Amino acid sequence: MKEEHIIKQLSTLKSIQPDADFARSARTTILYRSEPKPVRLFGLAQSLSTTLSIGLVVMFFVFIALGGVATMFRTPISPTFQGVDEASLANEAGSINENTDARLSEVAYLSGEKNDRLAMTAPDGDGADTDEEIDLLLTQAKSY
Amino acid sequence: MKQLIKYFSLATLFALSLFVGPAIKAQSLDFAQLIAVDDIAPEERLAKKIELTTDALKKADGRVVDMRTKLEAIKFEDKTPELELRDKLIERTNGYSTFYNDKLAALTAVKSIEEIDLIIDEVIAYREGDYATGAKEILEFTLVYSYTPSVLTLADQRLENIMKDVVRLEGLELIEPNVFVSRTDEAKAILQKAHDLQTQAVTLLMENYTTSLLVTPEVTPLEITLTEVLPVLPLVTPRSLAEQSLAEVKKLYELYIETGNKVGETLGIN
Repeated sequence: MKEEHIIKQLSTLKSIQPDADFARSARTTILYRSEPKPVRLFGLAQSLSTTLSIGLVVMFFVFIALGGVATMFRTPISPTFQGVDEASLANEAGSINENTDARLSEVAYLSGEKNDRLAMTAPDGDGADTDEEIDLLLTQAKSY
Repeated sequence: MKQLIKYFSLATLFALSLFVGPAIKAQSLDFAQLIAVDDIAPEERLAKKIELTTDALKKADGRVVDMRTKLEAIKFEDKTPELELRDKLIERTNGYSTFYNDKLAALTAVKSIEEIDLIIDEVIAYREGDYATGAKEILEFTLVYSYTPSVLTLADQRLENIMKDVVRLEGLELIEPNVFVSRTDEAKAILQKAHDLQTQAVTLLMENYTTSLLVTPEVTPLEITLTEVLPVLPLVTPRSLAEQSLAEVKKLYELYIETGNKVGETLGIN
């Protein structure tokens, strides 16, 4: 009895049908749905490359925004403003001062002037000894 | 209190040792050297004297070669008084080299301390006399015709680069237009003054040379200095003018550095 009841119930289920609108829309969806692409290594790499590129572009703009002109000034990758660059200026000025003093000191020494303010060093690039050093050697030789 | 006095005394003694120490050390070293010199054998003294003199003569010749090289590097047009003077100065360096090399050769024949001392005296006298007078003129010539112009060229290029940078920064709207006009104008004025002084130095040097050609050859340089030139010796010399020109360049670089700092401050990187 019980079995007959169950079979009867199941047969009624056969008659269940979807709503006409739903059936149409579901058919359309199934028919026009694109095939799912298989996940391949190339696709993954391409995806990563695109992400990386976008990331780099974003990073670049963040770098520019945060660092601004100051960073551009200090990084060697960008054309710097050498004319007003402090380090370059200080270096050039120091070299000029040192060499000028040394050269004037040489002339002053031969003129018999006291030049305690100046170091007894040859100008930059000169391999030769100064006259003061040579005279010192002669004095040492004489007094030895 | 006693402790305080003790510490103070110790500190004073320490400070005194810092000042007096080196002097005492130097004196004791001199004294030690004297004893050592007295102790060493005459042969050893002679050898050392020869060694020191040889060294001095070789260095002196090296110095002359350096002077000659610098002179030769200065180029002038043919048949100009400048070239004539340069060649005379080169010839003079050849004379110095000959003297030093002759003395070097003489050293090989030295047998006694008296002989070596005689040679040393001759070299010292030569360097104090002929060499000092002549070499000073060579150095002045090189200063006026080679060194100062090279420094001025460098300063010119630097100003040009600074002005280019300022224009670029104005173009990028990173600095306000005309903010640095007064500084660049001041720099231009200083640089112009340095150039003018250099021109005067060159003119005076050549005037002095032309005048010196009129002096009779019998008169020695020392006599010229004492009897003829000294009363009319101008206060301004080519060297002093070149020195002033270089002083202006030094001042100019201070201004350049200030300008660089100011640009940095304006851009917010200092």
